[in-house]
Amino acid sequence: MSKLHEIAATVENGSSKLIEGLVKEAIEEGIEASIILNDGLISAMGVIGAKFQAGEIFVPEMLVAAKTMKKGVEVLRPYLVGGSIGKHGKYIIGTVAGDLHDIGKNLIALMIESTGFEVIDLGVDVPSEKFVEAIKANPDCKVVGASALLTTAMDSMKNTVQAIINAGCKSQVKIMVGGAPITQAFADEIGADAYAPDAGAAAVKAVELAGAN
Amino acid sequence: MKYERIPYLASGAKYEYVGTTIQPINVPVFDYPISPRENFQRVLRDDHPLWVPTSVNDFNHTMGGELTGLSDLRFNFTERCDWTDLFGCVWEWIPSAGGSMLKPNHPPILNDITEWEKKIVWPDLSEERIKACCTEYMSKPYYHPEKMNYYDFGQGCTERLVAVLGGYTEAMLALAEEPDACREFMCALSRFHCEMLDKISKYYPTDMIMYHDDWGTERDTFFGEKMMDEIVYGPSEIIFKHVKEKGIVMLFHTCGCVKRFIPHMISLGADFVQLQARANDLKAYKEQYGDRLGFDLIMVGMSSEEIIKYLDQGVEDLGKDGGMFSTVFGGDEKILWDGMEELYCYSREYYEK
Repeated sequence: MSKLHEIAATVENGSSKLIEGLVKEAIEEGIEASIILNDGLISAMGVIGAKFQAGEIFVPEMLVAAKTMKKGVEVLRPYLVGGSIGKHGKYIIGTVAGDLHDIGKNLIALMIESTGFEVIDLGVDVPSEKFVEAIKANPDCKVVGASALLTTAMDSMKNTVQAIINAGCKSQVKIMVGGAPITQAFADEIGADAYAPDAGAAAVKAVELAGAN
Repeated sequence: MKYERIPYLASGAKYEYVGTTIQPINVPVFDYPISPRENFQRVLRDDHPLWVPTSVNDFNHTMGGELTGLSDLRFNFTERCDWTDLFGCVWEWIPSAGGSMLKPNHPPILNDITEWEKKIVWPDLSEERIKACCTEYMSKPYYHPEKMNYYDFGQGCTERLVAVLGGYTEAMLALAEEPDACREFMCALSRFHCEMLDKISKYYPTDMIMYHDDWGTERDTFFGEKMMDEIVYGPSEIIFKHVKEKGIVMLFHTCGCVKRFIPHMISLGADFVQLQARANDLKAYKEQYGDRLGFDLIMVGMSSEEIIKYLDQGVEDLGKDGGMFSTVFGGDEKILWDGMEELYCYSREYYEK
């Protein structure tokens, strides 16, 4: 097995204790850091996202794979030049006001980060003004994601999207929404640019939106 | 309609003041043709019950925290506020959700599950205090000795793991990375729960408990069968087995879409399950598993028209032969009254067909 395959397999298996050593070995073997990142770490997360979407793996396996990838990225960071990390710009994410659920939001943040965004996580119960403030403070942010689990937070999600539009931020960012009660129809109704049903789909959609923006 | 639905607090209506899990309310009193206990046995055996029982018409219903004095439950359920549970975990009550969330950004009790033996402070199960709490509860004006006794037991293995580690993300990572420590912690927790159950049962003769353990997201379970079989099932079996050995009815609550774990619930010995209707096809589960499992349809605030429609449909979907129960969770007193009237009358008519 090549070193890159070994790295990818280690991420997929979530063997977080082994990844640092393997990435160091790959660097010592002279493999370019950007190749290790893209063909070893990020490609493995693509596989993980697809398996999660297909119901072949569950939340713990996905989280531990993402944690493994992050540890690998930390080893690579000093060797990466020209912004391979965060190559798609920044992604601002938060659970909307009135909702404290974070597991879906956290999963999406991890997947989005694994595709090459720098993620700014605003946390849970985030007022719409805080989303707007964060977008304005980060002009290189191209996509923003709002999450909700409670049906009672759907109004809050609508307000968040409206606040971003009213603040004139639509020329800067695309808005993604998601969460258990959210549907494509609801996303369209409130003026969001995209809806993603799960973390794997969110990662794919975010890259697409960043490219379009 | 053979049975007359009595309007809320109508002149001449019989009613009584009872406690629910989140508020004391006035509820109708029905002229039961047989005792609630006999009817409930028929519900359990799928043997021609006469009506669908509820947590407040047929049971006294409270929380484990009230019977042990181990958690701070003295808060106003209509306002957002913090409270601390028996392990010292800090929660935030969200009125709009009708539930509590772990307080965001609050330091967890554990950062690493492998440290549970050193750092977990097991709550003091003082028999004297439990005796005093049970006695106090049973002397309250809304305790009715002729009814059966039911209480919310509290958090099971997975939920407690989440609580001590400060969130689902941390707990799910621990399940993946430290399965042995998670299982050992859960076993210790179940042994603690057995002791708690024994002490409460001694002073509050218990007919049924509701044991909570959230296993699902809106779309699927948090973890798969392998993790269930290797980590969660064994420790859960300890408490389920103990409950059943004491002749107590086990009502198991889990949030989320948990279709893949229904066989595990049956195998563990759950008598009833309380599942979220929006995330599960309860009618299909009844058809597939109704001979081995009962269903608890939560009664919670909607409009009167909605709750009546919801309960009628619930009886049609889940009531066949028995195996159906309803926990009254909370909401507007008049709407809940309308719901109880409808459930009793509609189920009487249904079972007489």
